[in-house]
Amino acid sequence: MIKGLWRHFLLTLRLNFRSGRAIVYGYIMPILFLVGFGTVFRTGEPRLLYEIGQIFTITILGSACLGMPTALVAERDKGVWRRYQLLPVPINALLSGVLLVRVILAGTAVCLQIVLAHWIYGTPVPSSPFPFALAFTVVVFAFMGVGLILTSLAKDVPSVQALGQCVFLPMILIGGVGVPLYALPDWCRQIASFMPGRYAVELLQSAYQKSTMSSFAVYPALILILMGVAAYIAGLRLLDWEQSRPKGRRIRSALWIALALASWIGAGITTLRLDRISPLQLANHPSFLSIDQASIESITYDGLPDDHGIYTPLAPPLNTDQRMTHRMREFAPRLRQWDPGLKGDTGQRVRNLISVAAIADITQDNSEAIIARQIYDFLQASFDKKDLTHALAWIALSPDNGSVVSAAPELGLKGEAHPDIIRERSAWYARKFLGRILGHIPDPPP
Amino acid sequence: MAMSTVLSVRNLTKHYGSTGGVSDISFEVDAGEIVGLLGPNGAGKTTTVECILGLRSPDSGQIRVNGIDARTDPDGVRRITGALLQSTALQDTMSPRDAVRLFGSFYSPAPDVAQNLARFGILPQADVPFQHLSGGQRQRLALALAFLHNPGLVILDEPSAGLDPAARRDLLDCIVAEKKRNRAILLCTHHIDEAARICDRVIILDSGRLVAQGTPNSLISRSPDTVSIQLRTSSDPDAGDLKSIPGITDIKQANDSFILSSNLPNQSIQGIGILMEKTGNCITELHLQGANLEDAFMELTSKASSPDPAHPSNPEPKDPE
Repeated sequence: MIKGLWRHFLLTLRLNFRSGRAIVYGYIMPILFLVGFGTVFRTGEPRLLYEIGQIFTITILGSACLGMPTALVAERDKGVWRRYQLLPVPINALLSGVLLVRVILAGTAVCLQIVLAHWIYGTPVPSSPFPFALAFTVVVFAFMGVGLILTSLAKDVPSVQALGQCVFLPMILIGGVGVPLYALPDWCRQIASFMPGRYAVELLQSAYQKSTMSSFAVYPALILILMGVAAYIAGLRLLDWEQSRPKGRRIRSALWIALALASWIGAGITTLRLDRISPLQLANHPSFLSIDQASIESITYDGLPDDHGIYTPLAPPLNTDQRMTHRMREFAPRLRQWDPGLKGDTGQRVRNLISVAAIADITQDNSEAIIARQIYDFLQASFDKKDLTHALAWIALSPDNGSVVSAAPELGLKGEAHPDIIRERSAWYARKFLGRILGHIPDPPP
Repeated sequence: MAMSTVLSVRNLTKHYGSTGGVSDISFEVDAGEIVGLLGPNGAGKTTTVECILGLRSPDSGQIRVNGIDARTDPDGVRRITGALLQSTALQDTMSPRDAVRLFGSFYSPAPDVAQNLARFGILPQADVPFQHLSGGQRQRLALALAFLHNPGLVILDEPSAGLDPAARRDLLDCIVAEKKRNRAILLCTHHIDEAARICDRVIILDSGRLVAQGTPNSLISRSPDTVSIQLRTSSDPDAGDLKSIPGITDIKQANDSFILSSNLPNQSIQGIGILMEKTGNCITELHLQGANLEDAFMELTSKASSPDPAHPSNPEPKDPE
């Protein structure tokens, strides 16, 4: 029997590569999505690093919720699985082989995307593959459960494709998968909390970027496992390999579907109650007070972007004319009263204020360099030098700690930026400011 | 159960809600015989087959294949049973060689792939994708998969559906050849001539009940002693004159000939001759055909459909032959 299952697995894998359609949907479409994201998201540095979780999620979602159910329903309608039922082996063992093939197909598509993203856009690869592989496995598991439910509900191929789109499109548009969560309005983020897509993005993004088990995003992983288990239970109970479905299944179907949906609703409510609707909130931040002198001295100032360049521009010390432009005249008093700059401990306040410079940089504000200088001056004026030194070192050394502000319309800044990019730019600004305060970077006279 | 009995079905009952299914069916199939399962649409043939193969769970009754209980050990039954079901297919890109190798790998010892393909005449198409095989080649492949592991029992559900006459004849020859290897074969079919040609015994189902079983000849002998006379003459005779001939029970006109039913064939033939002579008409063609399995089938299924409370569900034990 093991030999038969192994042969079935290998043959299913081989048949997939004999089908032109499977190649297009399995590999060409993921490449197109990668290039599409690369075209749309051009500002991140490195390119696509902060969107990579979304790209992988789309690939896995497409494979598990569109490709797999369509293939299974087409085979069921042709009677392939009816024939398989006559073999002296449990049908779910054969189904497991098909699921495993799908894992391999999705995995190879994701690997192809990693290689191409690195080659075309210079997106870094994870330093350690294990956390990412684990995250990938959890996401595939959850989405394939959803795919099984779609397979069991659809009466034919057109209906399974329609059902698949009903899952795929909302997650792409308002579920934090296609459009990033930080760019969605609050009501969308709340809705996204009820869908597995946003948890998949969070888990894959976190595992890809951080590549350590200690920073593995446990919360989204648990949510996805819960959703996956509920979906497998419902899907396997509902699967019927006969082409014609006897009457009386509808009520039973509704009950099992309700079980699967209960996991989505439970996840959403938990997320809302825990106030985790914003992406990539990290727990257990080490305080800026934990930064010691040795840590500060370990910081280097080589390789920082040029002050007059595209990234993290910083104007020279401002003269009176620059300060007295209409916009800057309004900016300074607003900054002094800006809530995130007043609340929390010194480290968090400094991080919030540096976020403002980062937002101006990322959104390419006309006065980005001047705003950065204003922030630097304001920090020096508002904080004790020792505290400020520790806070800046904390931001430079631990960019992922604490929280960041992703928009500041009350300060006259338009647009919003991805939190991960803000963290990256904040770390650069922190080094630039710290280097000036400690005399490692000369600040030219006005 | 006799030693040679491979399949034994006892009091099988399976209902779908308030309608359909089968009720209290019992029959056996022995090694080295082909048993035809006949019945109109909805008679319960497919339900019976699916219960034997463990695809449906019976409401009650017992099914044993070589002594293995199909309800408690469906995998055990599938291990010694081959099947060709209606509405089954393979993946478009799977070749016959792939299929035979895959299906064979679930049995021990694994059968020889080329030998099995050759046995059913599909070796030349061994590497042709399933989507490019003709209907006959697909059915031959299905047959190869059914007989692949040398099963003691083979169930064939409408194996010749959709085939042209030549492909159908070839397929039936293959089935008869397999019977000679001492296999028990249960053949579900709509084609009564097919059953008459190759079946040793026939079971007739109607509305979920077993209405008759026996050899084709024993079933034919149970139908009324009516002979069909096909008559073509130089000019049309008067239908009233034909009806007055002794023994004639029914007259039908078909194109340029008459089909007469007679329960006294000798007297009817004599009466036709007298009528022709009297009216100056001339016989140009005359065919006589006795009752056949189709007549028996029509007679039995129409009887079963009539509301006759005295009609038994399992009226006749297996013909011992």
